[in-house]
Amino acid sequence: MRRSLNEASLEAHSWLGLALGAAMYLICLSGALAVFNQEFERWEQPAVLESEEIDPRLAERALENFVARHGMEGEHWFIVFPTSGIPRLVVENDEVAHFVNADGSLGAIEASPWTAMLIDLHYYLHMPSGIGMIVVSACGAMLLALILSGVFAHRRIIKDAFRFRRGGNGTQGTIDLHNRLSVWGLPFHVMISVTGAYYGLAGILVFVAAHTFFEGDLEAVTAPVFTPEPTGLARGTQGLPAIARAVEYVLREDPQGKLVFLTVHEPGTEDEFVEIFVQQPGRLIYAESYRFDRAGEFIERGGYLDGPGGKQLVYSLYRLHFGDFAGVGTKLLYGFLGLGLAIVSATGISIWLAKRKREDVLNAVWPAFVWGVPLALTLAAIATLFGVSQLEWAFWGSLLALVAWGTRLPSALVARRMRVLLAGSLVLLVVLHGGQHAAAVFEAAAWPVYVALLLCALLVFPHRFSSRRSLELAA
Amino acid sequence: MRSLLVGPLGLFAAWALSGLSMALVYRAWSIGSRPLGGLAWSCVALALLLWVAVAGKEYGLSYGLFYPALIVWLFIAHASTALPFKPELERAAEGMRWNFTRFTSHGAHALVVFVLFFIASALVTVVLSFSLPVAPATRIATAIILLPLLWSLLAYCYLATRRKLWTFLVSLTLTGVCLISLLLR
Repeated sequence: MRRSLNEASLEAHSWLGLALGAAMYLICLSGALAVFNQEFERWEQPAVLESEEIDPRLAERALENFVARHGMEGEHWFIVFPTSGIPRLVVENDEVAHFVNADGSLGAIEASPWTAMLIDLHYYLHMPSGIGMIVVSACGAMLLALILSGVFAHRRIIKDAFRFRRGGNGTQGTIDLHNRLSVWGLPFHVMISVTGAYYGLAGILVFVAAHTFFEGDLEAVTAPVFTPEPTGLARGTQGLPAIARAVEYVLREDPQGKLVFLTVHEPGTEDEFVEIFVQQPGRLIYAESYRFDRAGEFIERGGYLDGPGGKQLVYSLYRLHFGDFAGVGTKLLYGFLGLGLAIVSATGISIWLAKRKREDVLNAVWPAFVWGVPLALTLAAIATLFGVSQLEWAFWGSLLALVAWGTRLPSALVARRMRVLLAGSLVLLVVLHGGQHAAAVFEAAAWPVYVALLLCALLVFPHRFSSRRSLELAA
Repeated sequence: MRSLLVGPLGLFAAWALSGLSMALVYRAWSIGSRPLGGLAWSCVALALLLWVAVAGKEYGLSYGLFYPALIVWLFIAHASTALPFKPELERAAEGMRWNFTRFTSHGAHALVVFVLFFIASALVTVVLSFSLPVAPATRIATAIILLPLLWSLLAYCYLATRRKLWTFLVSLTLTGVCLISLLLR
């Protein structure tokens, strides 16, 4: 029997959705939260001194103090400027990062383990970074296949464009939610999938292209996009780089730009040079880079601002993917749309489960997983307050325990119980964190996150109607 | 004119036009009017242009394309209806079914979709994009966009058809041709 395009597409959509739904949900939910990584990073250490002012001499002093304490080790030194999105001056090498006090002395060590765990979940699903990034990027590419099959599977895409039928036994509402979020979010979803596929897959493309066209020379492939590093610039010179001079140059020559960070490449070697990355207003490119020798003498620009179109496009993918341009408004937009994509991933499998003629353990496992992920993230955040350092284990351990617990509940009750627990954990997190950082509760780094967490607790707490219905269904 | 557009006033105007155009799309949908629908979608396009004028080409395109996904929920909420309460159908509770043949067949499909088609699309992408008579940076940018597109298209075509072997063989031939062209260089 010949199937219609809709039926065939729905079959493809279901297969891909079932194969990737769980991974896609983890990636999308962690991605929606990772949009606010800078806000979470500040919140984890809310008492640190904040200022948006850039003082080149202060930065230079901070680097001197850093080298005096940690020596010349490492292949890079970094200075992260307070205009990077987090209003704090940080000096670091590849191993350790210090906040800088107002007098240039080294302050507390930067530590935001929960944010780092969240970002690792989004980038690598907590797998080893090489393989994890390929898996996550592959999910990005397959999201495009899901979008394609989803569009062709949708018979009433125009007819149902605004339809949302809640109530009934809940299935129609879930289907409508899935379809409305998918269809109206289409441009965002396509952008996220293409830009997301780039990170892990570009390396493979470069490898294949290098071995095919450039005798294995990887830099020959990447050079047109990522300006190669200069060599031998520090030959015959000594001492620490004159970074104050370099920063002053950038502030003078690019007054509209926002300094993100400064890198000292290969410190102490003859290949040492200084590079300052400067965000450009109105542009999606990650930054324009300015390069200096050890004496703080300007050498060249990276050419990302006005280079070839392809170079600009590739260099724009990061900020376009993470919504890290134009402030909190854009972050909120990305956060909501990312959350929408996570809901689409979750409801896709819920619809498939609801349409089955039988019920088995999967009917409890899936809602337990869906609500267990944010709950496990919250529990991991609580764990940091008690000094737990292996947060990946805390996250996966609690998720496993929650899913196992969910399988012992009637499937109609799983979501409700998990939501109550999640709301309670969010409130507990606010209370414990506030207690631990009592002096900084009303700092700009802390209270917006507390408010957001409490709002989330309010939203996820099951209200009276849904509780009663769940109980009726369970009965 | 440009100075009027830049700043909070311009942003407000772009927001307002986006909202208005979505309201028109909703109105056209609810009364089933095609001419009004055409006008409404023209307004959506106009709002996109206004976003570009207000926030620049790059930010403006992002806002103009992504904001409707949020604004539309005002109208979806307005159009929402409540179905009468209906208990879920009684379904037989069972243990997990385990079918080795189905498991193997799905495993084979997964291998084709996630591994073989990835290799195929990567090879085709490299051959196609690096043969383009454009700047080297443009070739890389093309490859970055082309790879997920090709891979997802192959996956979709394979999964949506019952003639899977045929689709598989076509993609294998295509890969073979690309591989030979690479080896002959």
